[in-house]
Amino acid sequence: MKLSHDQIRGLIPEYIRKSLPDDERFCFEEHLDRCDECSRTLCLLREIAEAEVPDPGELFWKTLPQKIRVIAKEQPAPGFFRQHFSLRLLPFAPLLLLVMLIAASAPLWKQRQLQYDPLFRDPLEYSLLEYGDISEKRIRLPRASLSVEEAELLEPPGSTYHREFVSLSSDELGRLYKTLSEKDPKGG
Amino acid sequence: MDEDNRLIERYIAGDDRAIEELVVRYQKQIYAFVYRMTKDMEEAKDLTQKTFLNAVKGIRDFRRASSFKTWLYQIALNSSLNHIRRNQPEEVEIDESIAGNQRGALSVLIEKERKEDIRNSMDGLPERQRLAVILRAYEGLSCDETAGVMGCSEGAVKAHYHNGVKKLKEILRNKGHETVA
Repeated sequence: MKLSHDQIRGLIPEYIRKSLPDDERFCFEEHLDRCDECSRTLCLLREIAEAEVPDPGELFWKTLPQKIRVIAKEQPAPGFFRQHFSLRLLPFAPLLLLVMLIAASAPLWKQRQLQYDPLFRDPLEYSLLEYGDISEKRIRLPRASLSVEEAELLEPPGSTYHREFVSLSSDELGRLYKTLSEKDPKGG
Repeated sequence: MDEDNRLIERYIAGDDRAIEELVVRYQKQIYAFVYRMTKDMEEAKDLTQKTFLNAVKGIRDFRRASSFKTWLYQIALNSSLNHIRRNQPEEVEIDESIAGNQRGALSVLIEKERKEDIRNSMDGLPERQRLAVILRAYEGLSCDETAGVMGCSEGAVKAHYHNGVKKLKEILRNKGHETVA
């Protein structure tokens, strides 16, 4: 067997790994004896191949396979749905399409219905609205903070002592109340 | 290779244990390859795990155009290159005077440093040449397998490999390692 220099040069990694067949290995070693360049290259590549890789430890080697299995199980593969559902769902495809069409046309149908609804034809027509749910309720106002004019609006003039009462301060009103309750409890 | 395909079929059929067997078969090779690419043990551990997870994720799409081993190396290579490109290492300057003192004092360190030098000289190679040398010399992949991993022809692999070795010798010669180069 005869191998060229270039062929021998390309076989150096295989020679280092001892994966050459016997006849090639014999030819290779014969060439090495007389080729300084290939010998040097072999030395260099041996040094490179023997370069140490730090061992991450037995724990890493033992746990990695289990870790990969557990994580892979947790996240379904991208082909999962394609594999499990695609062919099984095929008979239901027309039905699915119909449902999708109905679902897609529902908003359009609703909008069309609203166009003919008198209530929504003109939103400014408030006479169409119902007020059945609104009830009247008197709201008590804090009288002390009201001006005379405002108080007059609430209590029309003519009622007895109205103006006098309104003009009194809270202290005067307090004293008046006390006097009335002591002296003339029946009042006017 | 048949064993790999059998394990893949078992996994796809629902046997989770098959993936463990696949990982056990290749974890040391992939870790060593990734370490040689990154030179960082912690990163190599992370990238090894990432490689296997990506492989498991895409195992149903594995078309068997190449061997499982080649496909796995491709994934590891892509993960490593992405990592290297994302984290470009900063240049660290070594204090020559300190290094020189150590060299003179401890002969054990000299040999260690020489080996380190040879290993570091790989960094001076262009990416494709470096990859061809790593896959052929370190990992012991055949030309065909290396071509599969690198996504090029066998001829291109041979060219990258030979040019890489030639340049490596040149770098080492410049560093004063005449015996090797």
